[in-house]
Amino acid sequence: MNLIIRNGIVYDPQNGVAGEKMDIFIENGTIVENLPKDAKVIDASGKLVVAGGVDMHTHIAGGKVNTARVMRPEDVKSGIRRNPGFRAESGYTVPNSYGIGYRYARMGYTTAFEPANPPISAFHTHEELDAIPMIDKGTFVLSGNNWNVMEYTKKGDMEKLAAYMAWLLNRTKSYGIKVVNPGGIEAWAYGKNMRGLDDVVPYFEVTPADIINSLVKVNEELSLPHPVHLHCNNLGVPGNFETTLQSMKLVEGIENKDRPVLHVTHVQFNSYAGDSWKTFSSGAEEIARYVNKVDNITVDMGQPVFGSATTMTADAPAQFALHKLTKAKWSNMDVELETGAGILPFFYSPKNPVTAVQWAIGLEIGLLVNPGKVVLTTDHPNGGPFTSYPYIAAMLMSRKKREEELARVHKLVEKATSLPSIEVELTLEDVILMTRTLPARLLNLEKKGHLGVGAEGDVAIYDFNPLEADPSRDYGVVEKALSSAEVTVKGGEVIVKDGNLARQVYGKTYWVNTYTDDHWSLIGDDVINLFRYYSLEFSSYGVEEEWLKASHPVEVS
Amino acid sequence: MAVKLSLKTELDVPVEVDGIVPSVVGGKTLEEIQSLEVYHGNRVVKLGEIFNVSLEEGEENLLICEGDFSKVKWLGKGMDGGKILVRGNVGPHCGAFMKGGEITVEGHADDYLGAEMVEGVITVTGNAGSYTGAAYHGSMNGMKGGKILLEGNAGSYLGEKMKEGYIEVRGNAGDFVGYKMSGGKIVILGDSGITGAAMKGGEITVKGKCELPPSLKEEDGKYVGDILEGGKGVVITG
Amino acid sequence: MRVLYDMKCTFCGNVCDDILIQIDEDGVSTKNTCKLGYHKFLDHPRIEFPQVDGQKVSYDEAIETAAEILVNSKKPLLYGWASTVNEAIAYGVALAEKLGGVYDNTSSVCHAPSTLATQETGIPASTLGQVKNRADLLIFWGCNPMSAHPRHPTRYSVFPRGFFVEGRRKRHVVVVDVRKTRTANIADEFIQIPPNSDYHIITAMRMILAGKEDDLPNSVAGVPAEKLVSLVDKMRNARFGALLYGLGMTQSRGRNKNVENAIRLVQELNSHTRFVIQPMRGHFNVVGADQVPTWEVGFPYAIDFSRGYARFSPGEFSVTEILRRKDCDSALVVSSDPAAHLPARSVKHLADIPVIQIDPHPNLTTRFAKVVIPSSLVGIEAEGTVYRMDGIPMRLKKFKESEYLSDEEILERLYHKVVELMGA
Repeated sequence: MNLIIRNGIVYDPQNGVAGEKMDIFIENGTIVENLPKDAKVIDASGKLVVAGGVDMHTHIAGGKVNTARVMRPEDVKSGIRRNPGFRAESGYTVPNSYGIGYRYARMGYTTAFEPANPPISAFHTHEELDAIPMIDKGTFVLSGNNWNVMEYTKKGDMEKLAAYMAWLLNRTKSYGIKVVNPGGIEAWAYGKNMRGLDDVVPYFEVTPADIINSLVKVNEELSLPHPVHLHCNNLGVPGNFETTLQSMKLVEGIENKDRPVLHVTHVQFNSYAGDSWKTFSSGAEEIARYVNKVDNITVDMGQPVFGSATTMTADAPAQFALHKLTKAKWSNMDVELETGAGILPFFYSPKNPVTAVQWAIGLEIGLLVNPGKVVLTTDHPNGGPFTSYPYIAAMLMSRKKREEELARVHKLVEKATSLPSIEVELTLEDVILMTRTLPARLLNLEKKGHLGVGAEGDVAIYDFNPLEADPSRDYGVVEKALSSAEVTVKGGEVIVKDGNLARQVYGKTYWVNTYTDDHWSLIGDDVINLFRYYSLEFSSYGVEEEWLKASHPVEVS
Repeated sequence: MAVKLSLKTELDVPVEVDGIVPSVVGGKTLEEIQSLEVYHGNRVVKLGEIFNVSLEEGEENLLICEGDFSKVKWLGKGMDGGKILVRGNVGPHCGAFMKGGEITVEGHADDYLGAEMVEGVITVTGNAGSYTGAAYHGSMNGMKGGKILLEGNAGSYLGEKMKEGYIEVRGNAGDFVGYKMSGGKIVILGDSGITGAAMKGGEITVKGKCELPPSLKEEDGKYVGDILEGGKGVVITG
Repeated sequence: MRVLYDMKCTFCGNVCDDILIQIDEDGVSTKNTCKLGYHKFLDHPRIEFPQVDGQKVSYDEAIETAAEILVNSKKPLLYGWASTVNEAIAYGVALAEKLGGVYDNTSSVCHAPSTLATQETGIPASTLGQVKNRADLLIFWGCNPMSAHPRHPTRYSVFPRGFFVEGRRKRHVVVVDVRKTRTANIADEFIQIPPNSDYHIITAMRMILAGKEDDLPNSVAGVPAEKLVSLVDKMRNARFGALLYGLGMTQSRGRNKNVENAIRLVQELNSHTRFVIQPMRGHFNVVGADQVPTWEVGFPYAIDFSRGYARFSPGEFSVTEILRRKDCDSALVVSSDPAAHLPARSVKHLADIPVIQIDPHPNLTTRFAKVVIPSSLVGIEAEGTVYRMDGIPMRLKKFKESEYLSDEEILERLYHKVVELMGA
């Protein structure tokens, strides 16, 4: 179907459009220059029109998400919604697959990436991605504790490492390289962790710094579309901002003209100062200063929101530490030769000094880092569900709203963070940049995150007039409008209308195909040899393209 | 006027009557009551399709259920006052989440009797199933107040995660009496199975025989624990 | 002659993926299978054609009759699922939701207590390769892999050469059970416990680990405390321990509380060393039968959709309970034989309601079935995805053509027929 979205107030930072009244034309799923034939007209007069949202870090599929659902019936029960004509949805922090797709669509998002794909169970990740309707998807492969990666790093054999990563991305149908607590998860297999970038991983004799360095090098060598996606060592530990800064400094001097070379994810959890929970305070200013200074690093917020959350990460040792601290129910999964996972429920209370400070640190990051370098995320569902994005957007745009919130949070926020004194108010354009333009650019999805000619027909229309409503003052109106798109268009199809589901579609799965037989000739013997230590045969490993519902390989030159 | 329900015919699949509580039916006309909606399996039906409904002389806010209601679920769910009298057996979840009033069952009750109830009194002349006064899967707390009196026996998991309130069982109880309970009192006049496991607080008295896990510690003729939970619960036996 | 390597065995939760299959004019022969797996690849009697009331019909007619039965039911039970592929299960869940029926799988009569325990306390587990590469202490509790998962000890746990643990001699193997099993014969240590004493014994072990052994009596449920002290010492001093448990723990007195207690023990051990706990799951895809509905609707089993969304209540909606209570008015049974495996009082209701069976083989349930729909054999004649007992996905290949539709195809058609009858 062809569409004309008429008279909307368009914000499209990539194309320099900020609050212009204009028409958007969509023909065969793509934004075009000229009026299409037989087009259906959507009247967007006096309404905000933007590109579909892009979430580049959200835990929505795979073994750990499903384990969280199994262990949290109380959460599953809390988000029940019947959708006549569609599938039912459940869950608050861990929605079912349908709930994930529907909620993104209702919020005006059309793309979401699962950032933690364990290679050995990659097909489980894809089965769940395939079950999510409405949006386009992709996933990053967990690589920072992989035995082959550590072996090649130790030997300094970057050629083989590049070949291996090309193969691994292909076998797991992944889009980018994810590094979680490099070396620390391997150490956790015998109850240890990595505490600094120069700690040595037992047996493998490499350091977290070595692993980051080599994977960044290889990521550039392979010209992958996405920077190395790093979850730093020492997550959740007071004083960890130093480790985070050190990790960032590792890529000093490495440049790529098209994109950053390192993306430090959910940086809130890695921006802590102090040396214990007693002296816990914010290190966000230091992190923000550094990120603003350099051109080759971006971050996402990992913003906590008050209420229930489910923490889930490959960082299994960090999760065990959290279990010891909170005594909450705890699941763990050690994944042979590759990675791990830890899952437990968590509650961010405004009255708890630690969680209140975490909340403030996330906002400091969002406000102090240049909006062209920070993506709006909650690290769903670690900081809370992705459905809180409109709340976070409102907080970033309105000091008044922040002051209201500050009045109910623990006083430690005043002492331990700079949030109360931050005057910055982001503009609506900034927020669109942080939720569309930047994440799409970081994923190098040229047809996403903007409304220029040639872009995919992914559009969100929100029921407020940005030329009249001032987000600083009318934050309530803006937050409410952003929470429920009046219309969401995905690939030229109207999937949400009047805030309700209109049509169920299934999006594509992006993955990077850069692998060739030449790669295999370099690494084949090593890979096969290591299968003596896997519990499955080499031939059982990986995902074939035809198993995916809508495979969308991206070729890399 | 009291409202009386009796089944028109024997039920094939269960009917779920949450919402049909004294404060809702009280003061309504016969037609209004008959047209209240309930679930019969996957069908939404009118109350009058399943039950004979009549108005009788009697107390205001009294709901009388006449006959075998063992396939009627969620009777008195969340009720906030008034009385329900069941002259027969009743199905699962009777009085769950109850906030006030009285339920009397002249027969047997099923599982989840008074589960997560907050206030009110439930009396059963016969037996109850498992999870009486307990928490639903995933919930932090079971019964938070009120009273449950069973003249017969209780199944397993009696008072699991109970926080406050009182349960009395004249007969015997099954395994895991007061599992993870944190407050309130349970009195069993007969025997019970494993009792007091993972208890954090509250008090259980068993007049007959019972089986204690090794993690309850004898102190002055009482058992205190569960010591693995740092618990301060008390079990009094004999 | 055709030789196929690395085929997957669809018997138990091991899903061994190194099976060699030889096909020649004499038929199919296999290598690397255990006795149970060997049996699986032999020819067994098949349901020859679709039937309604014992009369031969076409697939379309059988599916139409099945759809009508289901659509006209107020509470259809859709049960089985552990011996088919995820793709078929997904249709089953969608069908249950569309019908407002009940989805339950065979885990409700084996490892459902493990799910209930996980809901309470989580579960620290690992993939089987982690056990193979690192476990220097193995405790088999209430399970007998030598008989039930015959290649588990050789491939994953007792015997294999792991990366950090060189083989059998470097592992200490303990069996805890109520009787001396075949697995006990290959163990270093056998601790016999009285039936139904698991809860108390695990509690005592947790007390020992917490340094409260002085509060223990000399013997717990008939087991000398010193024996348990010695076991806990070994657990604490292992470099990497694995507690592998089975139906002896989940289906004896205490059930989910036993498992919860054991998980707590393992969680607490992780403050001293690394320890994991893993259920020994039975059917080759019983894990998928839990996992698929979990992502589709939020719960793993015992799910009622009568209100248009998922409700979880094992005391009402698990197969044993719903049949015992006579609460369902029809049943769709997929790749399972409840008539053979459930208690008599539950089976009785199957005789009183219309039953639809989808299965390659006739079994006891076939006798109760009004509609019988033959399906092809997954992993032999049909493809699809299954999850090994540790959750590792495995894609089954087919190596034989079949005249029968696959479970997935039958359920897809049935789903669309139901949608057609009910309207979208």
